[in-house]
Amino acid sequence: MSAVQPESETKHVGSSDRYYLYQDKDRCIGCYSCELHCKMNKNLPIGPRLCRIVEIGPKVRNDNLRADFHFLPCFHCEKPFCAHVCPTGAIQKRTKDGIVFIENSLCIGCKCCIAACPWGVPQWNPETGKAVKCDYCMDRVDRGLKPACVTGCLTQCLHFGPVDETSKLLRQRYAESMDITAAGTPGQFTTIL
Amino acid sequence: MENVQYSLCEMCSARCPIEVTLQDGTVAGIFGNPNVGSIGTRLCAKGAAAKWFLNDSEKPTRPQIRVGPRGSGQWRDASWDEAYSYIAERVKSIKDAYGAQSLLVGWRGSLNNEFAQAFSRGLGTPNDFTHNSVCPLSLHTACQATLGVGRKAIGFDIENSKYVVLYGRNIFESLTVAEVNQLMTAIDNGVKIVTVDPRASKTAARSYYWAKIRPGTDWAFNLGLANEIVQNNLYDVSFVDKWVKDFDALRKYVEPYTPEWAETETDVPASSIRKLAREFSEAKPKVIFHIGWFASRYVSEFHMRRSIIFLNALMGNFEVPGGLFFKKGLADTGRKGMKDIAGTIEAPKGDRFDGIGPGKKFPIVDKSQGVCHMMAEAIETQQPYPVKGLFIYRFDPLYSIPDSGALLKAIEKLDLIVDIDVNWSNTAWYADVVLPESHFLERGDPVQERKGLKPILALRRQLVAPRFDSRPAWRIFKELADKLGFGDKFFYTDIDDYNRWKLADTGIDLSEFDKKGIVNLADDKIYYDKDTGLKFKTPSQKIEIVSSKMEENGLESLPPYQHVEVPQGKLRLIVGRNPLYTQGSMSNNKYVKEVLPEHPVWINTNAAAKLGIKDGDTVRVSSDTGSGTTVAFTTDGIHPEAVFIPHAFGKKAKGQQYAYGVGIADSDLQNLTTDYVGGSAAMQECFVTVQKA
Repeated sequence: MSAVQPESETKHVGSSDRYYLYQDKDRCIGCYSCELHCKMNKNLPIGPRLCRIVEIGPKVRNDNLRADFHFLPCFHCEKPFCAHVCPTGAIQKRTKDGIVFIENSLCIGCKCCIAACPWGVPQWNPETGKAVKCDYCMDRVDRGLKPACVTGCLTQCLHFGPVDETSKLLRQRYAESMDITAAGTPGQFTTIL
Repeated sequence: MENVQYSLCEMCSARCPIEVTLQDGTVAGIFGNPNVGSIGTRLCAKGAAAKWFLNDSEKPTRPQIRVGPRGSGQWRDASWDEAYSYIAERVKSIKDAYGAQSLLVGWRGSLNNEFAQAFSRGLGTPNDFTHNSVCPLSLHTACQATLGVGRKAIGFDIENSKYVVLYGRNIFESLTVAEVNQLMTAIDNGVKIVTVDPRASKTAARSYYWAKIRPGTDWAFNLGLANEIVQNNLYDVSFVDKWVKDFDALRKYVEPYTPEWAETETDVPASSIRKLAREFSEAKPKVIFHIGWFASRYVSEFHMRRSIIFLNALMGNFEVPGGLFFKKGLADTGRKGMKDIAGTIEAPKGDRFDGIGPGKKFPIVDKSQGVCHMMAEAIETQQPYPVKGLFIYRFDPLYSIPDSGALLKAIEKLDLIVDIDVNWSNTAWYADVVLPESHFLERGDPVQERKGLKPILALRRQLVAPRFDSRPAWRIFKELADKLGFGDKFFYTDIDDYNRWKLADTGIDLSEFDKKGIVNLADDKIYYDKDTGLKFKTPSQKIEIVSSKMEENGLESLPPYQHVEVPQGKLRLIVGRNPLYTQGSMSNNKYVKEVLPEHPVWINTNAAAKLGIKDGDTVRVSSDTGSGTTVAFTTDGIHPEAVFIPHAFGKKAKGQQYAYGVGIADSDLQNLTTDYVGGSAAMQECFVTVQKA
């Protein structure tokens, strides 16, 4: 099979200009600004948390200390489980950029999406009786802005853009990490004196 | 319609510049002010949650006059005029019976200091004070005694440094947006952070080295480092020759304090101290020993802070990239300074309630700071005279001062407590009259001078109309002064009028803030000449190892180190911050609480095992002063002698349903102990037992 396929009508599916929200874990300090900016931007009540920081640590092993903060938004899957199970077609995937969002007027509050997503992304909004999920703040994206969590991120550990920018960044970083003359890089284990 | 405005946040004392998006006049979003390079659009979780704070109704919403017993929460609504008249009547009878000095006026440092201070001066009392003796005071005093300038005169060029040493200065949890970014940039540039802290803070977890130090022994660690540096000539000889007074005294002083000695006191291996000393020396002058911020931990706080300054001096790091610098302001950009209303009113003379002054309890403490935690003693002993009335502006003594029980008992004896605050603080809840100040987005404040290598002016502007019957501080103090008969001293008509007067000599017009929310004062970083231009304001114009100020006042400049011990069967209670709650003033935010609902006590895994405590157990933490209940977090990330609780919890004002009774209040457990040289309360001279509840 040729490595280069002729373009087809389905070229948008999985194309490389898909957005990705990458968390540079080495820069994250677990400040939770992402969560609060998300919440305030969406005017959500107590309950649903569209992105979430999960803290692991601090842990001490031998002479090292480590604490990690995992940022968990929606992955905006190419084949979203949530959209697949949605009986009313409320959960949709935008063809132009792959953002998976809920059309609020169609949601009947059946919670199928909540059960279907393996990562627990769709959330229950007790005020509206409907599901709510991360849509990369698509209203902001459409105005040329970034998702609220990214804009407010205290250390700029969140990167939003075409998915290939993330792979580029990571390759660059990996290459740089092999430079033995470089000084201490962030995110390595802290040495306990 | 959407429009973008600029102001300053005030969810904590960092007061970061913000950009606020208004949608048809209501606040849609709050981010950092992108016109300020060190901020960008970044803003911490608390700042984001300011939008909820604005909508929160659990605040004093109109003037309140107490009708039930103090603290009962029984209030009646009053008009502003009625509240002012009520206050004026009682002030008059206190003044007539006991004199003006029997009135205290205290505040938490803010942009409105000048109004509170002007009000205090107008009242005729010498007794104004800030919250600083339960925060940075000993550090401030140490800087004044050693450098001749206060702590705020010194900045840190973190981005360009090679080593940053942090003594409990928890930059990644006690957040200021600019400082987080400076340290992050430094990490990008390859800095090595050394965190000296008994606890694995989030800053420790992003550090290169973590010195898991025995709590209370930072001074010993520094003496060990200084010994190694001095004995091995690892210091900057030419800087020391030029700028350090009495270096030989330091050499002699640190002689007995070898790294091996330091190891026995601190639990930090001597080999590590020796290694660090060499790494620092290699990297100097791009080494920062951060002097810190909060400095109310130990009775030796003042001397510990001085030892940090000495280490900086040994690195020769003043006015160099990657080192310390004198913060530059208007005067350094060829402009005249801003005026301030308190400066137009003569400060009343006379003995102070807190024992500041030559020959008194606090001979070298700056009286502009005050020693707020002497309040209970002054009331109880009536020395040097009776204290009968208290004005408190946005400071919460009943929450912030150790041994809150004793203070509560004391202030019961006052004839008048007036509290001006945005929140139901504990003190507001126990006050006689509460005057609600407007939320920071609902009011304007005096222009702020943000000093640094590239100084700026910044402005808090009123962006939305107050939701409740609250008023801005400039108006409350002016109207109170009117009612009390010295309204002529508050000459301005409104905040714009005041700020125009304030800026008059600078040549800067108020309209210059319109575009960006700030005014840049310098295009390039301003440095003084390292060889000739360092502006130490000590009598010798040098860094004083033997401090003229101390010697004049009969204080020993270089006293022997005091061994630190924890009583048998006890643990030392240490306190700190987490990134969601800095101060008690914003602990009632329900959105912040959703993210971080629990505030466990950290206890070392082995220490916990000995007490039969497992992770997640509910435990009772008790001292001789008080006790509280919370869950245990068992971890190897804390020294076995210490237990840690975060500050900002255990609030007692029932007007705040989200904060009320949640977690432990550190001030309920802490006994009142003092660093009599520096002036701070020594909050971590507190020993507790932990038991399964």
